[in-house]
Amino acid sequence: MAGRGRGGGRGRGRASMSFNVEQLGFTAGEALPGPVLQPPPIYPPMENKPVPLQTGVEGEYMLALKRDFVEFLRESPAFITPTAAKADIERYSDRYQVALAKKSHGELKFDWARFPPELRPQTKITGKRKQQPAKSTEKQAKIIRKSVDIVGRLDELEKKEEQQSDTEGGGDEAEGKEDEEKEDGEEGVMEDMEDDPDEEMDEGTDYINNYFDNGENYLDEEDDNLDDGPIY
Amino acid sequence: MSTQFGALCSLILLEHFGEIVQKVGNDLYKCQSKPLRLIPGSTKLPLQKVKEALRIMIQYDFVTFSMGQLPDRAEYTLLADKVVLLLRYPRYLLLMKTQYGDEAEMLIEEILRQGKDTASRVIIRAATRLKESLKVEKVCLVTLRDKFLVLVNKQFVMRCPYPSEEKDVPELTIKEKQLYLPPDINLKGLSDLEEGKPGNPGDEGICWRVNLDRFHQDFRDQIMVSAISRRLDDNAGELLRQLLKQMYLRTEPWVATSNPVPFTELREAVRKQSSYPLLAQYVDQYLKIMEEDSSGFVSKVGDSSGGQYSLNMKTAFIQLTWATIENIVMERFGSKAARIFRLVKAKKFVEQEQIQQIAMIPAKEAKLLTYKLLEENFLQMQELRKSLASNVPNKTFFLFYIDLNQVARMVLEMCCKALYNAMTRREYERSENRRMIEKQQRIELITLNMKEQGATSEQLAEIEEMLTPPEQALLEKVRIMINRLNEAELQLDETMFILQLYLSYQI
Repeated sequence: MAGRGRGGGRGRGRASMSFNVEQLGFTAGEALPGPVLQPPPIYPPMENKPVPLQTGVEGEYMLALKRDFVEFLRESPAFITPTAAKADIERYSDRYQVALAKKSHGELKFDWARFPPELRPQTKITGKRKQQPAKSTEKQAKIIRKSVDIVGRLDELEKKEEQQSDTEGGGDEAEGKEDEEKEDGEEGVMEDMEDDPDEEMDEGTDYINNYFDNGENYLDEEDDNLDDGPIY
Repeated sequence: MSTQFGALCSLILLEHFGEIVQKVGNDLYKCQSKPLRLIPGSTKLPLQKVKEALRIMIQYDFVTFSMGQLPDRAEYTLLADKVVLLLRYPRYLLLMKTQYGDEAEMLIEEILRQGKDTASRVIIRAATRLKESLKVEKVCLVTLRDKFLVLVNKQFVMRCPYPSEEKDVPELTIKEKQLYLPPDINLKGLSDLEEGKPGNPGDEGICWRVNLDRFHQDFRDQIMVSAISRRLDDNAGELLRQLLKQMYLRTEPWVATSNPVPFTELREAVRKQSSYPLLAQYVDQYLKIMEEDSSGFVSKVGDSSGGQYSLNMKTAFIQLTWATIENIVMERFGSKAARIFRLVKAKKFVEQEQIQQIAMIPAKEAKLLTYKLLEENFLQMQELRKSLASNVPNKTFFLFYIDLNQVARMVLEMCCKALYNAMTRREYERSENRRMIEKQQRIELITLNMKEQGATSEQLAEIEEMLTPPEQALLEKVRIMINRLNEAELQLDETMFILQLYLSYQI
């Protein structure tokens, strides 16, 4: 209001208001309060204390309900957490955090007919995706063929061995053994490939295993001998 | 729809569904509706997460979608009002518990927890939870099913709309008469499912959700009955309850003024009620008092069949809103300001001079308080010029008046702000003392495990001592503060409910 007054004021000094100042309760001689140049305080003092909250059994029960509901949602899959950025180094404690974060309340069941198709988990198969399954089936076929081959070859080898043992008797076992070793080698590679992840896991969870060495085998001669080389 | 409301909405989403849903919700709140492809850009979230968030919010009915400008692309809209109702869920459950028992409460809670679900799954989950809480072997599935049917019958739960035909964007519709059609549940299949065997309860694909409006209707009735009980006495409250019952027989629940109820029917209904003998004796006098009362809840509209009475919902909520705002003025500015406020309310338009004379408050103080109310927007000022010439200042009147609609909206805004502040403070307290709270939880867990293993009381005491007395005192303090803030949120919501109802009647 004051600004407007000044804009239209005709230089009548103090009384440059659009209305009579005396209406506000200031007598003619009284000085007007100065302009406010600061923003009001962020936390103005409270003049009146607020009334205390109503308390009662109902309120407490509702509190419990509220807490339960929030807790339920927090643990349910509805509480979406961002995919955490990978830490620069793998920490030992990370493994336990993953276990803690596991959701306890199963999956949310959606009725997909009620959702727009773009939100459904499997939308239309795009060109790229169409190709991928085809490739994978090829791969699978290959693997199957391979495994069939292996079985076939094993059979062959077995027959060979039998023939050898039949013809040569128990005399020349070394050759047969060599063959076996070859086979073992091949199989061993495959086994290794399968075993690899397991071994890693074992290393990882080694601490949990109840491993106890009573020291009886310490400096056992036989053991030492074993270490020298593999026994076939 | 203000920024304040949006902030509150986003905080609620954060508390219940986490950061990602909050971001998506915020983004949808800002613009009316948006197709999926635009959301990742403005939220900087991966598309997969946005999809997840939208799924969740559609499941809980916080987001709707419809065909957008582009064909076969849905546009999503956030229903912010529904999000804020999350704060009212405990109240709904309490109503269920007090009026329909524990089973009904459990059923409603299960639906609320899942957003929407089929009847059979809800019943089975409620059964498992009841077993845990009551520690019994078997829960009667038939009772639970009957309870569910009662809830359907009373319209507390209703069927979800379903897509009518296969389209690019499903259009969810449901016919009026199907809304409360009771489900046909095969009990054999249900009990099979409960025991973990494959069974078919026969209601696959029929989802149910909670009809929140029906709860609001009950809250409204409760508020009115308790208001009359406070103003007159319990008998009058009971009379109003009977009147409401009679009203529902012939009127839609949400109209502003009910159709007239004849006196004779009302008297019959009251007579059947044996717990209020005095009321049966003086029905006509109680009615007369209620009719003449300034609150205007009840009015007489005709004289046939002993008098026709109708209930004025709209007037009732105007009165309740006035009372609420008067109390707020009283608590914020003191009783003298409240007197001025009531005076302006009574006089409609009033000049400053008159205020100080009639309110009998010294001139300077009266002015101070009036201007303060004006500054805080509880009062409005109307300028009235006698002559149109602007250079004759003496001929201008400044009249004070109250625009209830505007004040109610402002108070609603204040409630939102207060809720926001309370929630922020609560989160702050929790995060400040997070380590301590976690420590306490761990200790509780250890104690529980030890008890199961049969530890001696000495051992237990030792574990208890892991929390030092000052720590315990601090924890207790934090617990009390968090509880109080929580309680404040619940009670703020009560005020919001009255104001929202008032505004909904104004439209």
